[in-house]
Amino acid sequence: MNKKKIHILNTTDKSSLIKFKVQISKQLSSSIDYINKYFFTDKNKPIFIILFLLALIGDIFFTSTNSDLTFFGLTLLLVLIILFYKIKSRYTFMLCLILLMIMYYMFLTQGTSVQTEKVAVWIVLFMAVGIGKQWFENEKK
Amino acid sequence: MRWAIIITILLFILPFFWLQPGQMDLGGDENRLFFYDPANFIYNNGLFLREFITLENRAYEPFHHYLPFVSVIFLIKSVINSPYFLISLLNGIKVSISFFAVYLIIKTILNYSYKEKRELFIHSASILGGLLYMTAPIVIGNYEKALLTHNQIFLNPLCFYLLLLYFIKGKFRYMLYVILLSIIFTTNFSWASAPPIFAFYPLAFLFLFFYVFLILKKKIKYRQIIAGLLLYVGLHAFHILPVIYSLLSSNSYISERVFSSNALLNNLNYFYGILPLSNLSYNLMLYAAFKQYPLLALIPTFFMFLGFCFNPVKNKTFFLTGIFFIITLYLVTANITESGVKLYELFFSIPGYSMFRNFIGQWAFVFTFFYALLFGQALYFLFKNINNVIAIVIICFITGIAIIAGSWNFFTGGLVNTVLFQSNGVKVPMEIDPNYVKTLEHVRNLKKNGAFVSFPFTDSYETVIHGTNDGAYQGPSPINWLVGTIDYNGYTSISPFGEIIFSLVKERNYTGIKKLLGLMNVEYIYYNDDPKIYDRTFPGNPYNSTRAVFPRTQSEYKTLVKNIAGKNIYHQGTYYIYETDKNFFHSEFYAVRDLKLYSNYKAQLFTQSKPFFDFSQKTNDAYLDTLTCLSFFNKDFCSSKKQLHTPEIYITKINPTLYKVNVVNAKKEYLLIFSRSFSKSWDISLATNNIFKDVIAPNKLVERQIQANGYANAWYIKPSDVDNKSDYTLIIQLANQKIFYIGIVVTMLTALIALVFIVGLLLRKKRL
Repeated sequence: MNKKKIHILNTTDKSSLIKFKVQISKQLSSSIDYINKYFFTDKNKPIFIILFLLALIGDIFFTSTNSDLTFFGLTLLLVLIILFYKIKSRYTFMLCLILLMIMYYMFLTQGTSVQTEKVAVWIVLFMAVGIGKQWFENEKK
Repeated sequence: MRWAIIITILLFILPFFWLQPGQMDLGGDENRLFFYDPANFIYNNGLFLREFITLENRAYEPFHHYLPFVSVIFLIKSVINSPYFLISLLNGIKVSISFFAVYLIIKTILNYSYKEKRELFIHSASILGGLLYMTAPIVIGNYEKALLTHNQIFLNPLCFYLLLLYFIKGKFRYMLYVILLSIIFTTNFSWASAPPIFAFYPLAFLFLFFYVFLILKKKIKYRQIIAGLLLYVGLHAFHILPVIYSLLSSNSYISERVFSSNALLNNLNYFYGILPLSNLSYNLMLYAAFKQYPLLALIPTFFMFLGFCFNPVKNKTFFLTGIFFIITLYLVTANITESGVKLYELFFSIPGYSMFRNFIGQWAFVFTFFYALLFGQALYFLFKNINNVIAIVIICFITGIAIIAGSWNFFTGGLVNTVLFQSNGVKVPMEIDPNYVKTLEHVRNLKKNGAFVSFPFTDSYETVIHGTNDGAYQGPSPINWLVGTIDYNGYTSISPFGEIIFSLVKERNYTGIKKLLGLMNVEYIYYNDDPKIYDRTFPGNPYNSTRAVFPRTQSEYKTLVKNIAGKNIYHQGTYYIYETDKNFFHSEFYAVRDLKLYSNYKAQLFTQSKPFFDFSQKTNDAYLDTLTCLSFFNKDFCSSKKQLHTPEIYITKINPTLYKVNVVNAKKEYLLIFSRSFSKSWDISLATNNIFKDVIAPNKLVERQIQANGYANAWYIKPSDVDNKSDYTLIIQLANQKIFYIGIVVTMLTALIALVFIVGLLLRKKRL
């Protein structure tokens, strides 16, 4: 008798949890659709990517200071680009690979300068994004 | 598998070519004198609490963790009497097992997670992963002055592999192997190894938990895990219990390190001090800068990222390894964005996290481990994507060459056959001087218990002994570690009197030096007049500060020694032993005749920098600082010099932690001095006829223990404390030592129960 009750309770809990999850995902997808419709349109894709790359290049080669705002801001932009334009994780890793080559060149020419370390931080942040993205790709599969 | 075994065998043999037969490599911060004389090492360090002197305090700490490991060394040495063989054997195990265990882990992960069947993909990726781990700079570094914690380079992956097998296959025997390993290498599972243990095992267990139960969906056998834990704790009780006791005792070195608020502040200062040394770029390229050919250092990292780009598999294991890689990368670097540093600072508020203040070194091993796991998987992705034998062989060749060439110096033994820091070409491997062997034997046979002072005096706690080759031992005093006699050989080891001895030597105040040595119960002077350990060969370390105060050459040193020493009692080669001046010598135990008071400078300054004592030729005077005196006695007593009653004292030393003191003709109250480091753990009791009762349930005297002479124990004993007797025997013992006795009983009982259980199972033909 008790077991049955517990079972019924558990089922109710689970179904309400599922409902809640569905609601949340609906809300999320509608907001994403909204943003997608007005900001991350296909037309704007090259603009966002170029903007992101220019900001990254500017930060690496033309500024000599470190800013968390830049680090986390640009990483957030990358996450949004990946999210809305469904960019595969391998492209993030390719970006890491390119940055790795730049870091290595800087390491050989300047040693562990501020700029070398800055590129290293970018690599780690993008690598984290890439690994996370691969998780979602795996889930989809 | 065949290739991996061939590489493992080659790696095992390799270290036997690093040293020449007859050579030893015993020095470093911790010393490895057990390779030279394991029996005396165990007796003097493994069985009893050791007097442990640091700049901050003098305490008694447990070093029982040496017992099993050094016993195994002793057993092997009784068959093959060669320190060279033992050192090479341990190095061979380290090199080969560190490779093979990582190889096996990657292979197992590829088999179970990716269901890969093609041998080429699995073995090539696993072999390169194993090689990468084995040759990482943090893993190959410090072989020449390896602390015992250095064994973690092979124990970490080996234990991880055995636990992985246990969780996958569910066979309890794998857990038993881990427990057995942990007992043999107790030093790596003791308080001395706390940072490596807590850096590796929590993360390793977490990884295993996620991997085995969430990814491989295996069941947890709670009962077996609890049984394993109980067995582990029971078997390790002999060293865990004394440490817990020490941790809970105030004024112990361990509790000071863990709980002191000053320590927290010091640790934060230390953290920020070394933060600029931490470079993310180094870590990403696995310490590229420290490799022999930095140009080649990029190749493994490059192929790793290339593997990420072409990951055809998309598996949760990669995600899990990647997350652990990033976590450990953050822990080892700290210097990742300003917010990252601020967050890292908060970690130091966690009690005990201070052990990771040298985060660069402490987290490097676990980071390298996860780096190797990720690297192995990335290479596998790459190989699977390419799916071309020739291309795979070329990549393996290039990566293998880059890994091996980058560490070529290690393979040739260059990192072991190195030169002592700041010396003029004095090598680390040394062949011991037979004269020194005889000298050490002579020291062991000395009948009196007094302490030693060693010259040339060093900056810290080191002694230098030149070998018959071009090498030298530079490390903690062998007189202290192998004979068990206190040896004041440097500024740190003579603490808290480092500044005082410096000022006395600077003024060439020979009487003052004699008095200080006398008060410290120094009965002998060890002097090595070998110019090869001082004059030109060691212009810097370990004499940087002392050379500014002490004589600058050996010939000048002779004058100093001559002026402070008494009779020369031994001479062999360059080694001399003198007695100190008997007119100043204070015995290990004595009743005070003249009690003198002084103002303690320690309240205002870091340490007492001027002599607090007079230079009178007395052997039974004592010095109390006024604050300590006032906390026990009234103002009248502490206002001026006192002449006290002096009964006759006769001592029997049973072991370094237990003394019998016969007191004769004690008609009045008196002050008994015990010239060993002050500790509240010293218990004084009235002896009965039963020594066991005296040790287990002592009849303690009224607590009137104070610190005298700036470091020593003193008890003020009244006739009423000893039932108004005038002739009686006192027992003075270190209470902590009993915890070890309890611990060893628990260990023995656990071992017995486990043995009976295992034999029972085997007899019933059940497999574990």
